[in-house]
Amino acid sequence: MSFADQFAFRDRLEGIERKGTLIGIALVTPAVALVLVTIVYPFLNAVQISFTDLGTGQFVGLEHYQWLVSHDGFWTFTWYSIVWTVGNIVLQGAFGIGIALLLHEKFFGRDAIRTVMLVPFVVPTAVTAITWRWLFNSSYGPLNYWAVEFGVLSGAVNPLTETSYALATVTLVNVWRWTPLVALVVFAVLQTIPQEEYEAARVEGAGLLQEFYHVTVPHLQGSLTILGLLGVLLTFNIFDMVWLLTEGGPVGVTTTLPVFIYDIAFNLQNIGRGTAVSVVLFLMLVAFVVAYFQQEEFKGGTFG
Amino acid sequence: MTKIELDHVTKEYGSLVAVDDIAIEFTEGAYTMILGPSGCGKSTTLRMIAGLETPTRGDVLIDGEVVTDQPPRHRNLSMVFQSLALWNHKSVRENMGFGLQMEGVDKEERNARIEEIAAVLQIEDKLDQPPSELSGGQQQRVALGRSLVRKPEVILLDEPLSSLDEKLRLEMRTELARIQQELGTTFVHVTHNQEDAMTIADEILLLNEGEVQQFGPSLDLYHEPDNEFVADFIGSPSINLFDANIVENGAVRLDAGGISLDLPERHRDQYLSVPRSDVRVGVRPESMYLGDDGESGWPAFSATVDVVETFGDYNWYYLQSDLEESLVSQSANVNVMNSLSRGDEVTVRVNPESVHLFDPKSGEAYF
Repeated sequence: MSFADQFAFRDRLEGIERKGTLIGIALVTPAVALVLVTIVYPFLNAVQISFTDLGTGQFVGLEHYQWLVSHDGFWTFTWYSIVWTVGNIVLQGAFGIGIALLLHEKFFGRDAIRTVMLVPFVVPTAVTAITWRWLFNSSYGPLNYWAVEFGVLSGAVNPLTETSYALATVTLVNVWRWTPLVALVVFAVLQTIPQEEYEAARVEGAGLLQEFYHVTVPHLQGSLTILGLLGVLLTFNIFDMVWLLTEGGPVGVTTTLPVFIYDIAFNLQNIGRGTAVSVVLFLMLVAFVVAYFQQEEFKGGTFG
Repeated sequence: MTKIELDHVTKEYGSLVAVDDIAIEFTEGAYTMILGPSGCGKSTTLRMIAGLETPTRGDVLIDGEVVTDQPPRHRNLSMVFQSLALWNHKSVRENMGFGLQMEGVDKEERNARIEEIAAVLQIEDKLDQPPSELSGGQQQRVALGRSLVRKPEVILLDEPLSSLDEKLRLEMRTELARIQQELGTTFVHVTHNQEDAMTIADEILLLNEGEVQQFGPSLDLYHEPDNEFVADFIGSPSINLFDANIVENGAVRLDAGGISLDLPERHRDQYLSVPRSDVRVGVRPESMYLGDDGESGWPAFSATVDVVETFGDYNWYYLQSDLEESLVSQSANVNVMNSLSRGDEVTVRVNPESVHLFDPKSGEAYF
């Protein structure tokens, strides 16, 4: 190859590279445009609104933020949101894994149960909420009727209207709704674990618990990490289930941040303040995601 | 040293009999191969010894003690799995130390034992990597190492060589034999490969359709097969088998496909005990001599060379004759190897000492 040839060759390579870059840009443009229009623009708009009094159209600076920081309710509701989210994730994880382990054993009717199990997940949230409200109702709900009938309770109690039980009850209903998804995912992963890995552990002296800890858990870790991430983000943002069950009550004990935002923005008609809470909620989740990605699983770790 | 015994063990899966009434005593400290074609029940047999399957009937005994219902961890044995079953979320060191960890051995001693075995297996520098980063042969060593570290009395191996390429398989095969001899541990190794079994086993248990075909020192199976299945399964290329009639009891002459094979007087009494006139005759390729080879008094017939396979120090000859089946002959005779090629007529002599006769119905060897 002469020098001239080499240069020509390099030019051609660069040409190909330039062309490749152009194609690349062309391919991501629609996605980027979509994100800009549907996420970035509304978000920036929201940030702008959070600095504005929408009634007068005046720029009010940090006024809305000052309000929320000094508002006791905001910190309480943030705490409720955390309790709600952690409770959901922990319980869904525990029940989901438990159910998946049971389903992994072969027994009569297993396939039927696996199908029926998905019902809570398939039923629309509104139907779920109404059904549970009816079940818990103190005057005509069957749960109270049975509880009183069989002497478990002395009088009818609707846990959705009791300040000490409401948040736990709402959490449990949501757990009931989402656990099937966790169970299904875990069940699918369980089926990919080679039987011989369990047998090797058994031959080397492991008991059932040790098999679970040394073989099952490491195989589940990857999926559980992703489920945990999605679960936290989805659960923290859930509005419909809580609103339909309790509307945030009684006396605000089930008011999570999304419910709070709805209340301020649409009931109290203060869009500016509502938007400020939204922006804070968004930042909290971003902070969570950033922290979450510091885990080993996301660092292309050596084992896995 | 530990003795494993199978006391009339049967394993049924529904109506399928996977293992049918096996009664065997494995020799202590020996390298035993359980051999047989796919689906013969060899893996099931191994898994019953391991305690991963429970026999439908019969008992597994280790050192005279019935362990049929004991879990694997009470049997002081270890197992190398076909898929190796290494845990990729653990390092090689953690994989190998797992058994000791389960026994509650402290970390320091664990590491000492792991490093000792890793040195034997030449994987000392791989200990802190996950198994998935190792080559196939190294992973094989890790799996073996995991079994060896605990120093169990018995090591069970389920087709451990089948996932390796040919060269590595031969290497690991030799190494398994070496390690077994060094440690004196009882090895029970399942394989479908008769060559692996013949080359390194002290004794072979040959199974077919869940039944014991023959159990004994490997050369016994080669030279004194109990039945036609054993004769056919052991040896590669397979033994030559053909239908024959005993036409003349007094002189014992086999009339096979128009070819007469006079068999020697020495075995006459035995032949005379053969109750039927039709028999199956088996002759190993190396007992079929070509051209001037063999002794002139041996029964001879002529054949045509069909295919020659060259191996350097010996050749295989596939021959056409008046017999129904084509025959294989092995020759290491330089004169024969240089002179014979496809289409040549050649005289075939059979060493009568190494002729096997089988009952055509049951396949049982007559002697």
